[in-house]
Amino acid sequence: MEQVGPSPPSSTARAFASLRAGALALLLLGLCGLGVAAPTPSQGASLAQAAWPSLQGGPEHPGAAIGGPAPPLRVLWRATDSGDGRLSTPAVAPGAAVATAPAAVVGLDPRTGGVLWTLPRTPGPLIPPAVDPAEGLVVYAEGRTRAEGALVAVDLRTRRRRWRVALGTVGAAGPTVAGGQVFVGTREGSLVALDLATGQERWRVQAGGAVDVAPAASDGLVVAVAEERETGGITVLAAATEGCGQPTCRPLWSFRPRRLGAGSTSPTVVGGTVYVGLGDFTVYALDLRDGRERWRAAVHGFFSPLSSPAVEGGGVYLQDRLGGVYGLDAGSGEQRWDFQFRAGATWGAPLVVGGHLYVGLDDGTLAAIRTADGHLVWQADLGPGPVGGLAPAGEDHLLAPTIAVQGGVVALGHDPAGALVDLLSPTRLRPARALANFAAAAAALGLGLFVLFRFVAGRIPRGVPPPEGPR
Amino acid sequence: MSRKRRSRRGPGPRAGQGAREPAARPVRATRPARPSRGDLGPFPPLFLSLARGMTLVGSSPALLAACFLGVAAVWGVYAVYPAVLPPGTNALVLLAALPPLHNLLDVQFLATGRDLPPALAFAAGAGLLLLRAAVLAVWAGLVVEGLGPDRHGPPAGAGPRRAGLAPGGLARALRSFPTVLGVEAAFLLLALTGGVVLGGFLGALGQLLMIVLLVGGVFLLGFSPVVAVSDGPSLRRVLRLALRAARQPGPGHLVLSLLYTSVAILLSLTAPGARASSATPSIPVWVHVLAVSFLHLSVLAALAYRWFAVRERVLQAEEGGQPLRAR
Repeated sequence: MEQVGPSPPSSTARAFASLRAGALALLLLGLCGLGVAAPTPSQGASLAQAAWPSLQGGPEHPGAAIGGPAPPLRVLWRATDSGDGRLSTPAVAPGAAVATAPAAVVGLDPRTGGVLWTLPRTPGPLIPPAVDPAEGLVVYAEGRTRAEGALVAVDLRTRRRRWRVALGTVGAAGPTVAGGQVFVGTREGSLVALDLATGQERWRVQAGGAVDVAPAASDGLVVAVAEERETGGITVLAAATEGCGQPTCRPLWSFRPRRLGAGSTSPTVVGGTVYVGLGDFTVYALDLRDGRERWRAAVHGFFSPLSSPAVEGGGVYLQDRLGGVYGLDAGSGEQRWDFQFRAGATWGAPLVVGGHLYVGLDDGTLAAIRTADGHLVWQADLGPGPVGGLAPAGEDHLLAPTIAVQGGVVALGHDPAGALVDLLSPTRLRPARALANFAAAAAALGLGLFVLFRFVAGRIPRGVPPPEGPR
Repeated sequence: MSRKRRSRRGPGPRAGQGAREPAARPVRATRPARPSRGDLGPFPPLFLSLARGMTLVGSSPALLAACFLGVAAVWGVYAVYPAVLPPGTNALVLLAALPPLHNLLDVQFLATGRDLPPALAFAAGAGLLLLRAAVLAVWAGLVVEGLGPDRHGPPAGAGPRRAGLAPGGLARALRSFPTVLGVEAAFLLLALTGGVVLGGFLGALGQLLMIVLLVGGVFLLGFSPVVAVSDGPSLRRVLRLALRAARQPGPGHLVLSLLYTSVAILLSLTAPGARASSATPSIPVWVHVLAVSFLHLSVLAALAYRWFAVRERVLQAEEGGQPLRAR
């Protein structure tokens, strides 16, 4: 099968959400500053609820939606393109959900799933695109090899290519758009900033390792993670979004954990703190200004760059590639709960919607966990293939890509007739149940063995060969 | 057959020599143990040993209960230890494995403690070591007692000897506990050193060498728990006797060590639902774990059976001051 995944963890991931109030205000200010007609307050609210511009909902990757359907969910429609049906996590702009297919970029009607338009794309992994509703641009990666690899911007209204920049092999989690710039990592080891309007390179940082994650941008800083594939070294680094006045800059700060590893999340920046899960099986909270470690928490697995911590209501929620989902206290890193699924999660990213955490798994399962206590409350099988990153489309739709032939993007909405469950993670010990199970197993097995070997005992010689004399 | 010839090929059991041990009776088995074939050495045939071990454990309520309760006790420590992830089925099937397999499992599990202060991790390790020694002493005591006075054959027409097995075995365990604790500590040191050096610094080669270390540990010191119970209490003497027993002529013990280690690792790797950890094992998981634990204890019983087959000559060699290297 053709390799469509972004990288070892590879592939599509996506996100969604509505812009938070602060982000909306910044966006409106930015639009005014650019001389673009600013939307009225009501239009702004509508925009906020309709847009999920890039991985985990925007340049900060909060992974939390203001509105969205509550579990249980039901499938509303399934959309595929004219290709083999594999689509990346969509980015949602007002009026269009944009996803990459192996050899195309597809615009879907977020309400009906109808294909609005299709653009050809140099075949490559299913790297999530990013949209900028203000500029009306979609930015996506294309190409499989270093020679083919490029970042492309297309006007959403005219579907005409605005620019194309050869960058080498673009990181698995794709670009981030913020403040009129595009930030993207490359597997050749660079963090690159481009001008959103022209595609001109403004600056780059040599990160010291492959940058597979989607950079997070907030408060004038952009944060990324670089991994040295040969040595296992991991570096979290930050640079000023405006650069250093030179084509090549040095990181403002960098953080290297003591242990080696591979498989990190894309970073999330909320409230001046960088949250990131690294390949050393640890989640870190770092100060955005200087990279100082605020806390760390051990987890059970490594991560996918297509995922990022979801931060909402004082909690940080992560999903590792081995099926572990964690709820941590955002202030202290203390683990509130964890839930262990049997299937891993290569393509999925956690999404918080109204007190529930939605997670997509590699076996096609979409599940909802109650953020208050970590109990599983709902799950459904969306079909063959891994479930990618989720994207809310308005308050009543949830878009979930299934990375399989003819999988496409599935839209889900609240199902009033559906049933909820209340299941504890299998990692939680229930002593009475465990001992009862032990007693039952021991009694049954012990009786069976005793009867069997009493029967055969007379047929086995019981004596030990007599001792040998000295030689 | 000349004496020299017998010495090289291994003479096998001869009924008339059973009287060398005062308490021994002539062999009166329902089917006499076959003599060692060719150059297989002085040990009983491998599959006869295993069958004898399984029969001993399987037909003894005391041994079955001790096996299962021992596993439950060690699982209890694992369950309350603040590890990042509860033990999966692949770890549970090694809870009752012979040393140094279970020591390596303990080291690896303790290393997954979540932000545990070193003092607390050390205390947990020490507690687990004591528990391991107690469980192993009880198992070995019951096994030795099970092979006990009729270890050279039951009285004619007598049924399996079971009366007093538990009290006798527990008394042996109590007496030999300090020695077994020393044996466990030696194995733990081996696993700790091997785990850190081989697993930590040598990568894939280290994993391979780790398997060699496990096989070597079972081969060289596999008899030591049984020897500690039957011929303690000096730890140094126990280790010397175990080494001498391991180095008896013929490949039989090496084959058993290789076979046991390979099967144990295979059973761990192929355990159903091995990757999915559950803190609360289900009934099928417990059945699987206890069945494999029964096999582990059966191998310990087989080792005891084989120890008594070579015990006299090993003791004579030790008392005769023969160099340890001599085979």
